[in-house]
Amino acid sequence: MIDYLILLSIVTTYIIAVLLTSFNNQYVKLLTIGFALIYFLWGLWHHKKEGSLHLQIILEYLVLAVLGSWLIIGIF
Amino acid sequence: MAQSALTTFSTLQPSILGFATNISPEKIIILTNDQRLQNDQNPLTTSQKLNQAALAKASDMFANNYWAHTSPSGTEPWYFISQAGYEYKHAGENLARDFENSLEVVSAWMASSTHKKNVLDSRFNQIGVAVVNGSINGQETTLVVQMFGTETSGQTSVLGSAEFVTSAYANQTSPNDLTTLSSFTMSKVISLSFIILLLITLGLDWFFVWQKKLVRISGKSWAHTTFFVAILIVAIIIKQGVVL
Repeated sequence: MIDYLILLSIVTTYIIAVLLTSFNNQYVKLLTIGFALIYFLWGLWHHKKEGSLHLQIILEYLVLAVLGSWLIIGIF
Repeated sequence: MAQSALTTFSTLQPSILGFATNISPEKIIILTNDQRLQNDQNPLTTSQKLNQAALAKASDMFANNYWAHTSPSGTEPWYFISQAGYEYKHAGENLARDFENSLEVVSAWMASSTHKKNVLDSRFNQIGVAVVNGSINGQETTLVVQMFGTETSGQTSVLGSAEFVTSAYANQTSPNDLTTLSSFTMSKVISLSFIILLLITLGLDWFFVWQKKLVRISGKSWAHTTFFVAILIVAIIIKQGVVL
């Protein structure tokens, strides 16, 4: 349960930070890269804790984190 | 390091014509004066010399491929103002790029405390603006240069950020020579469509795994969904353009 709350906190912080800096897209790009990196690390931590950390899962979180940040940065 | 990552990401995206459609120097000046009037400041009068200085600064940024108040060779904004024959007592500069219309440019300046200070500074009584299309680091963009000044032969001071040019080659924009297609809007629609498609796929995956009670090695669909919902929200709220 704590894992889910941490993820929700990360998501909320990211969205608020973007709202506060949306006048400068350089900040938004950096925030997005940071968010994707933190999500990737969160995934590793969460699955390691559950004892289900495998190479496939590492790659899955990595691909989705890169894809997510590319979808935002690609807009500018 | 972070800048390198951004550059790498930028080169991966498709190149679309990136000129703004609805930015004009006249409108920028009108909106700037509206802001000053709303804040009990005198409106600024247009100075042809400051217009010339702003155009020279924009041309220099395109010619020397930089996006900054001070050029890579160290030329500051005040040089352009002086070169235009404007003897300033006070001077200031605001920059913007990649915006779609004049209102967004002025709104972004007003949202930034340092730029707002220039817009509302009581020491300025004249303004010059240039809106120029060109390419910086291979990316087509519309630059907006706003120069503020107070002319005098007395003591000089510089406020905010500012810069010069030898040959102006960039084009001053006019309302009819611009594309009506915004690269930002187009990219945003494509990204939003892709994110929504991903969310639908994750939702279906989640549903079928739950319905068929499948056991497999994979990440958490709900976590991925949360991640992409955040990406979707940000894709909706982000605005085009950057100020300096």
